[in-house]
This record gives sequence, structure tokens and C-alpha cells, in this order.
Amino acid sequence: MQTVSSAFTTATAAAYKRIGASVLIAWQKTTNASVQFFTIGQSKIGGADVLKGAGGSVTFSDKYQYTNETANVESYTISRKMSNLPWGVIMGTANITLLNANNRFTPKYDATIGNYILPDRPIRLGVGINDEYINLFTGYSEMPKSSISSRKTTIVAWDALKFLSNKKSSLQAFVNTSADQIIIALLQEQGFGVGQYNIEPSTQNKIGYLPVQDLIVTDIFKQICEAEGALMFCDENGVINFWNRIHLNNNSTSKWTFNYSNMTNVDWDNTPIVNDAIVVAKPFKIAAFNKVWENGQSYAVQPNSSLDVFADFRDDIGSFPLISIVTPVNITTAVTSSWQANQNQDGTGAEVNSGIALTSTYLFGERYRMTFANTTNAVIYLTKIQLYGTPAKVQVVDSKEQTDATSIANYGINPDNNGQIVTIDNNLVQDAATANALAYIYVKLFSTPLQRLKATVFGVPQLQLGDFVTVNEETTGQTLAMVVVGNDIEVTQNGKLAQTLSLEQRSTYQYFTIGVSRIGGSDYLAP
Amino acid sequence: MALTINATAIKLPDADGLVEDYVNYETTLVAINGGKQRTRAGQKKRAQLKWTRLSIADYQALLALLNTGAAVAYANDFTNKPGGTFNFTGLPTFNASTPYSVGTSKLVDANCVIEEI
Repeated sequence: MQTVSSAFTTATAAAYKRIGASVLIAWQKTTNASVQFFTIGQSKIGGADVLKGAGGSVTFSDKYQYTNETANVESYTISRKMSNLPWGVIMGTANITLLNANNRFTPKYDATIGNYILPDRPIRLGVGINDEYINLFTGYSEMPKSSISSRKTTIVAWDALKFLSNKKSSLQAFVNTSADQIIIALLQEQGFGVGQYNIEPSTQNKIGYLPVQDLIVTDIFKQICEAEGALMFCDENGVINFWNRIHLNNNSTSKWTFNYSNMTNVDWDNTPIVNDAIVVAKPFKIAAFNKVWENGQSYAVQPNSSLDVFADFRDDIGSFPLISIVTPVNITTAVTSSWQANQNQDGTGAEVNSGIALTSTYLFGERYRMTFANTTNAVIYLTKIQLYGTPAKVQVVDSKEQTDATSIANYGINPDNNGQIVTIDNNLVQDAATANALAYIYVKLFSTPLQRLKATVFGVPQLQLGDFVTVNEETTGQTLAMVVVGNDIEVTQNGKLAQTLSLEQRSTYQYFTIGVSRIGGSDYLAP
Repeated sequence: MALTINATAIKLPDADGLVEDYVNYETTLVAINGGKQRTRAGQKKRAQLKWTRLSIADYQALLALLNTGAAVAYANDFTNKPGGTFNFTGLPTFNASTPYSVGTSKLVDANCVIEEI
């Protein structure tokens, strides 16, 4: 839950409250160090001050000089949702509708911002209750779309994790580095500084080898989150959070209570049943320098032409990346990596040692490209290519299965997965203990169908994903401890502050703590 | 006692032809058990004026003041609202509500709504 004043909390629950919307857009993407943060009672609404992100430090998005477009806003909606899995990368999105009768948002029209009606504009959305404002969304716009007939402009915006889904890393491969340090390095590479992220420690061994060059940053985060059983999301203030797999279990204090007097509707559902899961740990470890590839066919390089030959590095387990490779040379001078050319495809003719050359190479990680140029007037065949290098190979494969016999007896195996065993296969799962823990958590959380609610509530905008709330379900008399797994908010010019929460019941369990838990007691060994 | 648009006195509306009120931009949610919560974004002033059988001169004067599309300054210092005044800048929507017959009478009924910006 976002930190708010007691007055804000009181007003949130009150029968009557004034609300305000705040929409700030940095059209020109200029920064202004002199811009102050909004201070209630001092800053002027419509002035240059911006709502400051939470915490003491300036967040990535605080740097921009925003234009206050609040007076032109008809409505906005904000949505954040976790997937069905208890881990992953969550991207928040916002839809903003602006009034454009004066053509302010029509491209090339307004003298100040007309040339900047473009995508990738930093946006901040906030809501005020009785004139105290909090941020609800910080992100970046897609291209604004205007309609002459409706006289409106709509903007779709995404948070910083979407921003990172367009960015590739150019960092060198990580060797024996913990997942949290890898995430921090990737964020810093993209311009995020300390205070702009909150990364919890990894809960498994250091990752032996992870090549990231040319990979999409968000894709790397997704793989890490699956391997760690972790959640990653950008909060309302633009701060990127990485919650490890024990975060929710250790932060289950109820933040708000809902009942039939502050919910306007409840839709019922159940969590999917997962009672049989396998997690495969097959981490990459750096192996000894060795021969890593040999051609299985000959390649014809046509006269006065070039040919790209691709080497895909695979073994019995699957693809593996190379940390380094020796560039092949003609076999006549080669010590390790080499290539051999011949007049005939089957290698029975004379060797060709001139008129053909390896002109360029590129190592993609699990793939290596070699470009050969034939400067003669005859076809030349590459009959033998051998590559030597240092690979990172999967050296141990641990497969851990967890089942819940009672659940299987009651519902069958994984009825919500067509009876198939759920398998998670991830190279970043580093050890058997982690594989076992992930399978355990998955089955522990989902072996019994738990309550899932979609509750439309009197707005509590300070609630965040991952917050626990108490739901007094008065029809059944149940009191449910539920976690917020989805949060949809709508603010309109008609004073509407609508909020729909996706809530999921969580079976919390105590991790075994040395010196506190009792052998033979009800606590579980920390997975 | 004066009713002015942009500081120009206008023909007074009919005796029952002036409504000055507030428009509340708010939403009231109703909980499952009937409990209510109201959220309000703002409150704006509104004046609704109605004239019957306007003379040509009065009609043209009102048209000139209220039909340009631009916002106008509405002021009433004989209102029943607190403080005795009801002043705001608003967007007018002016309509002549009855037809006239050329050669007989050009008197028309008219009405106008002015909504605070």
C-alpha cells in the first residue's frame, strides 16, 4: 500500500470526498532540475511542480519537465494484473482520454507542443482525495490518436517495464552472479540509478553463466522471475520492484477490510488446481576449452560469391552458448579451429588454399556465423570446418516433482491443465533445492481450489498489487485473507473513482526459522 | 439590480424564466448492502434564461452577446444565492425557440443556458 497521510486514509473511507485527477505529460522530454515537487498548500495546481515519487530519491521519471494537462482530461483508466502464475513480469497500462475541441493535441497545431505529439512521452497520472494527491501510474505513451469528429485524443501508455521491452542489453555475459545483481546491472545499463529500483535478494545460488548481449531486457527479467519464483513490476511512482519468492508470505498483514458496505459487486471464481508440477534445473556452467562444432555436410561457395555458414552449438541436452571461440583458419596453419576447402564436394579432389577466405564472423551466443568469399571462377567446396572454444554447458540436470496426493485423489491430476503435468524448464534454475522449492510453492498454493474474487469497491487508490486485504463475504459468512493480484482504476470528469480488484485467497505458511521454529512443528523449511 | 453579460445589462428574462443553480460533477456508488459513497470532482455554476416575445432589438442584442461561441462573464447582483451575487464566466448556448412570420411579427421566444467553464 502506498504511504499516505492519516487524513487521506480517513477520507478514503468517508461517505463523501472530493476527488481530483492529475495528468502530467512531458511532451518535449526536457528535464528541469529547478522543478520542485508538489507541496500541498504551497504548490499551485497547474504550475510547474510535479508529484514526487515515493521515497527520498528522485525516480527516473521525476527528471522530466511535465506539462499539466489535468484541465483537458475527460477520463483515464489504469490496469495492472498478475498472470495465473505466482511469478512473472507485470506491465501496467493506462488509457487516457483528453478533450481536444481546441485542437491542442492535434499534431503540428499547437505552437508549443504541436511538434511533440509523439510516442514515448513520459506520463504521470495521479488522483487526489480532498486535495491530497498520490501517483497512480508512471510510464510512457504510445502515439496519441485524435479524432476530429469526437474532438477527443486518446493515449495508451505503458510503464517502464514495457519501455525496457524495446531495449537490448550490450553487457558481457554474467558469470557466477546472483540474479538480483544481474537485474541491477541491467537496470543501470538502461539508465536507472539507485533509488529507482527496489530489488530483493535472490533466493537461489548464483547464476553460473548468463549471456545477455543482444537480448531484450524484459525477456531476461521474465526468465529470471520464472527461475526465482519472483515478481517484477513497476510501481505507481515508476520504481521497479523485484519481489523474491518469499516476499508475499512475509508481507501478509491486511491493509484494508472490505465487506458488503464498501463493495458494490463481487464475482466469484476459483484458482486453477495444480497438484503435480515438475521443475527442471539445468544451469549452464563454464566447461573446458574443447571442440564445440564440426560440420556435417560440405558447403558449395559459388564462383565470385560469398556464403554464410552458421554453426549452431548443441549437445544431447540442447543448445548451449559459447563464452569464447577461436576464429577458424585454413587447415594448413590451424592449431585448433580450422576450415578446409576442396575442388570436389566429397573432398576427393585437390585442396584449395587460395581464392577462398573467411572474411567475417559473429558469435551470437548459441550460434556462430562465418562468411566465406570465393574470388575464383570455379565452385569451391568447404568440406571440413571445426570450431574450438569455451562453452557454457548444462552440466547437471535436476528434475524435481512435487505432488499432492489428496488433491489428485479429489480432482485428478491438474484438471485445469488438461490432466497434464505442469513442467517448468529454465536454464536459470541453478540447483535442485530451488527446483524443488518452485515445484513445492506451485503445488502448495494451487493444489486446493481457493477463492478468487473480482470485487468492485469504493475506491482505495493507495492499494497496490501484492497487498493483502481482508474480505468479509457476508453471504457465506467467510472472512478471507486475500492478495491483490489485479488492480483496475478509473477516474472520470464526473467524479467517478471506480476500482475493481482481482483478489486471490492465499494459503500462507510459515517458513522455518532457526531458533524460532520447532522441529516437528507446523513451520516449513524455507524453500 | 442588474443582470449583465460582459458588463452589458441585458433584457431581464421572464418572471419565471431565470434558473440559477449548481451542476455537481459527482458519482454516487451504492454498496451491496445499500450503503453509499459519493465522490465529487467539482461543482460549476449554471444559469438558464428564458424570454417570451422578444422585440427585434432585444433579440439582436442578446444574439450579439450570447451567440459568438466565446465564453461570457455572467453577473447577477439580485440573486437569492449566498452573498447576493451569482457571477461566473461561462459558455452560452443561445436558441430562438419559436418561428416568426415575415410581414406579420418578428417577435420570438428565446432561451439560453450559460455553463461555467
